[in-house]
Amino acid sequence: MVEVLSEMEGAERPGSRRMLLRRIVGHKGFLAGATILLAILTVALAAPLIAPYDPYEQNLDRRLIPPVWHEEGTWSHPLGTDGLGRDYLSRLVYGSRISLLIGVSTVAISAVIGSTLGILAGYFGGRVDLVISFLIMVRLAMPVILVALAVVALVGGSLKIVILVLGLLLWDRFAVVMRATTQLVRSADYVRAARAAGASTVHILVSEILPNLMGHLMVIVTLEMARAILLEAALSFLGLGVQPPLPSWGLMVSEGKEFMLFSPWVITIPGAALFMLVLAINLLGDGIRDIAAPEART
Amino acid sequence: MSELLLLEGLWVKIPWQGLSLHPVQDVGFTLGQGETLCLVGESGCGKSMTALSIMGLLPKKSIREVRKLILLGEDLSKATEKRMREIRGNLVGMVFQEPMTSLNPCLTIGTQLMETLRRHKNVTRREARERAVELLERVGIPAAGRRLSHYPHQLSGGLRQRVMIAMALMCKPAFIIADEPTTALDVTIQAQILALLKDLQGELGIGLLLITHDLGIVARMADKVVVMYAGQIVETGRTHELFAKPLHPYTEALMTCIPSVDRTPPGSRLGAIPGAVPTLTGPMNKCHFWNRCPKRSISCTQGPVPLVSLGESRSVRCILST
Repeated sequence: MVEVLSEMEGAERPGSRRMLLRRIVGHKGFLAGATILLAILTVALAAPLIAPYDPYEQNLDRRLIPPVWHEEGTWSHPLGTDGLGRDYLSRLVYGSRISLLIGVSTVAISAVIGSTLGILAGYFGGRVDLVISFLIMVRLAMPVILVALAVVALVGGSLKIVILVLGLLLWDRFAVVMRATTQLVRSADYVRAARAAGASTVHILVSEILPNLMGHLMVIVTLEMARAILLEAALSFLGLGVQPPLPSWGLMVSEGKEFMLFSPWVITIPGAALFMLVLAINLLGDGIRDIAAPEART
Repeated sequence: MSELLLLEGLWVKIPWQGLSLHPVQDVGFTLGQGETLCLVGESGCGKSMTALSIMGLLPKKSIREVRKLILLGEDLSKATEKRMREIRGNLVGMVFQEPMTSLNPCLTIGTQLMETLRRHKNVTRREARERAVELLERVGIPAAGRRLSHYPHQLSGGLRQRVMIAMALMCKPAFIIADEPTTALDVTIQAQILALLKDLQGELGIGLLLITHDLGIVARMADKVVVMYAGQIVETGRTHELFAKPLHPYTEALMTCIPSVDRTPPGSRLGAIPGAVPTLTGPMNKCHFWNRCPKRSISCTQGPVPLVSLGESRSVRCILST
């Protein structure tokens, strides 16, 4: 519908910014994802203002208090407390920082590695492509969890190690997709035109090709961010990731598993938080793909 | 008229499945300042390859051999890639066939225009912007200042080709190569774009190397014509001479392919040249046009036919006309 409108308006269009806005507002998934993510981001940034207690402060007198909607719940601990009497809301709030930090920094590392390799392979082809395709294949043959296990066994787990391990392992999808899309863009007329206007190879890669890959890149960024956050949770649950007493959501599930039978909220609350975060990121990615779809541009 | 471009003995060879293809064989011509030279011929005859070799932009695997390639007194036959980059877009502008795809869809018109200028000349953003607006106005784009922030998809085909022309002119090049600049446009726009090119050329005194397959365009635009067939030049001449008296059977055949109101009675079949361009695996030991020529004789196959000069800019490659 929006595309039809843009066709009809002809040469004198009232600016593409309004069109873009209309497309964003019309996309419910994108709006929902963006709202949730923005909320989590605000919580993470304003954690000290929101959290009612210190997330590390233990109080063995007040262990396993249920959340307020439970008949034994109390407003002094809205989400209850964990097995060591730490306020669950405070831990959840601080935990969002860890999840977002992992998501963003892991993807920052893997996006740079993966896109560089992918673009080089796609643009130059030939031997460069063979070598990089081999690297991608090698990477795909290694299970992430196993490698993480080995690394943590060697150097011990910490937030830094988790970020590094995931960042150095999750670049495969970036490389694969960037390689394929670069192959498409490389032979485009405007690349030829840029060359005829005296552009260098570096300029062509960075200023002509990269902007055309941004749509795809953003989609993979969101997908991989969600994947990294889930993997961190999984690693922390296995005891290989973030170490206690840091309030990671995965670790909270792990610590709660022994109380699961009688106090189920200790795992459902961080689990739901993880679910919401990953859902929001995925919705956002889908939305970006729809909004920046190449077929919307001519 | 001073000489802008001198090309002599250009060969392009492409290794292919153990064979060697020769899409351009011994092509040469000169282009003067303010002059228009049209390179004519059907698809696959080596027109675009010739243009790309001048720019040093041939596909990776092809090999360029050239006896003389002199642009503004500088020998480019051995120029480094770095020097060629300085020349491309700076001394030589290029306009491509497809205005719909020759602009980067992700960058604004302004960015793309200013980029070329700032790459080659030491100018500030503001100066580049002013030059862009000035040129967009010159190529007939209304509200030029506002257009700078537009993306290519917001412009029609004709406007985009105007932008491409403006882009080719940004650095005040000495000459422009236009590779079928109007083929993708409809007829009215085509006429406008051609008129614009001609105006600009007269005004700025630049040389124009126009590649086309349309003899109508040649008649309107060219000072000199080079007719190519199967990698070779078959005939050259000043436009009026060539149209008045085509010497090569191929040129003649091309001309009968244009339908005209007086010469083509209703209901009659349109002219066409039977057959197709031969595959160019190595130099052929006979006239390239032999298998399609209406005037062929056995003597056409007795060895390669030389290009015979018949005066200042007139030459023909046919044993019947010499």
